[in-house]
Amino acid sequence: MATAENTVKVSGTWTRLRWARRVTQSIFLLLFLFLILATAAMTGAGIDAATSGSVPYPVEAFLDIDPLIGLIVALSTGTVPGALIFGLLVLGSAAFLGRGFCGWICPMGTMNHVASQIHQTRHGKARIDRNSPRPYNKIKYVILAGVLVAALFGSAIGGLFDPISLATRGVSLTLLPWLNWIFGGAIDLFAESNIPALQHVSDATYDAVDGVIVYQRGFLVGSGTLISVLFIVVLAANRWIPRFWCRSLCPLGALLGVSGRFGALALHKDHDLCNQCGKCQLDCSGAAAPRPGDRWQRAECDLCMNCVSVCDKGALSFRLAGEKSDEQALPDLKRRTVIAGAVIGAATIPAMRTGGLSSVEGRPDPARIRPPGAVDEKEFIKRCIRCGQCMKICPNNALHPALDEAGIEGLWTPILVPATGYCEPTCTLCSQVCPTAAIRRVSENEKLGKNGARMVSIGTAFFDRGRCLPWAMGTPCTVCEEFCPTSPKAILMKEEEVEVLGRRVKLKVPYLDPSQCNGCGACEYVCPVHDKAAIRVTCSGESRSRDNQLLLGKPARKKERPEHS
Amino acid sequence: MNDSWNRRRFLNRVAAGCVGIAGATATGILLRDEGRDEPLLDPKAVQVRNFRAHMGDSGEKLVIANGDPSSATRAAIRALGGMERFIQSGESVVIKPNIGWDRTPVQAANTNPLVISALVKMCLDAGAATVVVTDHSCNESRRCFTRSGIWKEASNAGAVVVLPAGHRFRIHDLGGMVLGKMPVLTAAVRADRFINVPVAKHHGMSGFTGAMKNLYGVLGGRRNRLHQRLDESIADLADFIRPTLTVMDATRVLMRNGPQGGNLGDVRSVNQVIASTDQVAVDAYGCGLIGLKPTDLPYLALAQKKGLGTADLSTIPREEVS
Repeated sequence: MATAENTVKVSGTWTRLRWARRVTQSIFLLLFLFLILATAAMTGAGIDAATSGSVPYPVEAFLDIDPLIGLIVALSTGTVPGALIFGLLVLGSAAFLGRGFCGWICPMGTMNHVASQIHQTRHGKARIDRNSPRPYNKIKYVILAGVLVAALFGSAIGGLFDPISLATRGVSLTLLPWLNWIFGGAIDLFAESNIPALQHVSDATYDAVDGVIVYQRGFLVGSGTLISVLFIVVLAANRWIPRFWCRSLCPLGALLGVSGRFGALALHKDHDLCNQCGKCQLDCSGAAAPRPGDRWQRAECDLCMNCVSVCDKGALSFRLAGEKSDEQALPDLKRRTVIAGAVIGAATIPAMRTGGLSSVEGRPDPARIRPPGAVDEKEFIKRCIRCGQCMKICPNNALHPALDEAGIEGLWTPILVPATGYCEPTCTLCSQVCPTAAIRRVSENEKLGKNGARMVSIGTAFFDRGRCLPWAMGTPCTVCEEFCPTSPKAILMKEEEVEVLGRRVKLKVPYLDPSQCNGCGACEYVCPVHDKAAIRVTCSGESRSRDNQLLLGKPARKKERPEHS
Repeated sequence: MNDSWNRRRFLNRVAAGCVGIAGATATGILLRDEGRDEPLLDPKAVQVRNFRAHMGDSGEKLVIANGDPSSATRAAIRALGGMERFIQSGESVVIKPNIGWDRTPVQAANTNPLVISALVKMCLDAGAATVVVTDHSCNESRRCFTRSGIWKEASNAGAVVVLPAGHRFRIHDLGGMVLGKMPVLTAAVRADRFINVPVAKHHGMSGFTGAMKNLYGVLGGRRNRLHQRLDESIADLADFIRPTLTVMDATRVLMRNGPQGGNLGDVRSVNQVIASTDQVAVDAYGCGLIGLKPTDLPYLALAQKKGLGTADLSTIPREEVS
C-alpha cells in the first residue's frame, strides 16, 4: 500500500482516483453477486399468484454489457440480440478508455485482483519482475482470434473463455451449491439436535436464506466438480502470477485492449523526474510497463491507477492522448501468432463437427434434453455461451451443464436431467434469463399447449415395462399419471389383466400418448423405481427440431375441452 | 524433548484430559440422537394425533354452505356452533390446505386461498395464539405456495406460513395397516388443534381426493410408494391424524384430469364449502360432487371400519346453509 504522507502532495488526484477505482470495483462486484443471488423467481408472502412466474431484476445485466458475447453471437448468427446492444456501448467506451472495464468493472477481474492481493509473499525486485510484461501474455490474442473465428463457423464455444460467463458459471454453479450444502447440512444438524434453542436457530436461518442460499430441491450440479476445479485454478493462479487470467488468457481483455488503440488517455512519463525506483511497477495490475524507459503497453493497461498514485516524484500521469507519450499502442504481435489462433478456431469446429464431438451433426444423444424454448440445436450452439444462468434459476435443479451429452462442442450447455429434477409445468424462468436467446422466451400457454398455443415439447417419455410396478409386478401404482401435468394427461391408466408369476391379475396399467407428452420428466422424477426409473424421457420428439420427431404430422396441438359455463 | 515430565505437568495434562472427556460427554448427551423419533405419547400405543375437541352432546353433523368462498366458510363454521366451540383461547392451530400443485386458484388444484384466509381470521378471533398454515407440496413448494395465492392470503390474515423444508420432518410411528415409521412434517402436527382444509378433486387412482387423501401432505420421504396400497394408506393416515375439524373447499371442483388439472375446462363452479367434525362423512358427500358414490371409494369403508366416521350419509344429520 502507498505511504500516503509523501505521495499526497504530488499525486493527490491519482490517489483519489485509485480509491475511486477500488470503490467502483467493490460496487460492481457486489452488484454482480447480488444479481446472481437474485437469479430466482419472485415467491413469498407479498407476491401475487399472477406475478410469481417472473424474475424481479435484470439478472443477466453483466452478460448483456459484455461486448465479446455480443460479438460472438453477432458473428455466429448474423444478428445482434437486443440486450447485447449494451455490449457495443462498452466496446465504444474502450475506444476512449482501453481496458478500463477490466480494472474498474469486470467482476472476474475484481475477483482475480482480490485473489492476487491475498497473502502477497513477493516484495521488491521479485514483485516487480512478476508484474513485468511477459511473452505468454499474448496468448489471449490467440484465444480471441480463435473464439471469433469459431463464432464465424457457427459456434459460441468462446463462451467457455468469456470472463463474465466464467464468473457467472463459477459463482452460480460452484460457490452456491457449496453454500447450499453447508448451510443445508448445518440447518439439518441443528434441527436434529433435540435442543429447542438450536432448533429455533435452524428454523429462523432457514426462513432467512430459503431460495437464496438453501434450495428445497437441492443444488447438485452434474459435472460441477470440473467447473469448480477450473474456476479455482483461475483464482489460484493469482498466487504465482497476479491477474494471470486477465493478463494472459482473457479474450475480452484482448478485445478491449485492441479496441483501445486510439484511446483518449495515455500514460505520460517524465524521464527527468524519474529516479528509476521501480515502485510504479510493484503493483501494476496489467503488467503494462509503466516505468519510464520501458514502453507503456497500452493494450495491457487496465487503468488501475496504482503506478501514478505511488510515484513520489510525480514522473507519471495520465493525460489526454496526443501529447508525447512513450507507448506501444498495439500489442507486439507477429502476424503468424494471430493467424495461428484463427487457424485453431477454424480447424476446431470442423474437427468436432465431423469427428463426433458435436451435437450439431449426426443423431442426438438421448440424454441431450434441452430446456423448453431452446432453439434448434444448430442455432442453439451458435448462441449458448454456457453462462449457467438457466441452471441457477431452475427451481427444480433440473438443468445441468452437459459433460459429453452434447459433445465436446456442447460442453456445459444446459441439459435437463429428469432423475435429478423435472421441468416445472408452468415455469418459464430459464427462458427469461438467457442473455443470448439460445432459450427463447416462452409463455405459460406454450408450456402446456393452452389457449391455442402450440405446446413446447422437450422430449418424450417411454415406459420400461420390465421395471414398471403394474406392468411387471402386478402392483398398483399411478404416480407417473398423477404427476403428468398436461391436460388431457399424456399418461393414461387402463384396467387390464397382466400375468404375474403365472397368475392373471387385473389392475390399472399406464400407457403413454406421445402426442400429448411434453417431455417434462415429472414421471421419471417421481417414479418409485428409484435408481433407474420405469419411465424415462429422451429428447425424441422435441418440438424445436425438425428431424428428431417420431410422429407423422404436425407437432401436437393440445386438444382442449370447452370451458364450463 | 529434554524438559522432562514432572508432577505438575502430569497433573495438568490429566486435568486437561478429564475436562476434554467431560466436555465431549456433555456434548454427546446434549446432541444425543434418540432415533430421531418423536417421543411416544403413549408407549403402549401408536402416535395417534388426536386433535378432536369435545363436541358436547350435539354429536356430529355435516354442514353444506353455499355462497362465495369467504361467506360460505363463515356460514359453515357458524352452523357448526362457531369456531369458539373448537378452539380455546391461547391454543395453537394448524390449518392444512392442499397446496400440492403449481396451479393458480382458478384451476382448482389447490385449496381456495379465500377459504384459508377466512379460517385463519376465525381462529384468531376465537383466541388462537398461533395459526400455522403448511403443506408438503408435490411441485416446488415456494412456487406452489405463491401461485396458489395461499402464501399471500394466509399471511395477510395473520397466519404463520411454514414451508415444508427437509429439516422440518421427523420419523413418527403411524402404526397403521401399511404405514409404519414415516417422516412427518412436524409443523403440521405440533399443535393443539388441526383443521384439515382439502379441495374436492378428481384423482386418477383413488377416484376422488378430499379430506382423508389431503393428509398425505403431512408426510415426507418417498410418498410415491403409498399408491401401491392407496386405500389402506389413506385410512391409516386418517387414523393417525384425527382433525379437530374438516372444511372442504368445493367452491371450484376439478371434475377430471385430477389431481393436477391445468385446464379450465376441467373445472366446475360448485360454490360450496362443506364442514364437519367427521372427515369420513365429508369425503362421502364430496365424492358425489364429481359423480361418485361413497361405495366407489374403498378407503371410506376402511375408515368407517376403524371407527373414524361414517361413510353412510343417511346416518349423519345434514344442514344446508348459505
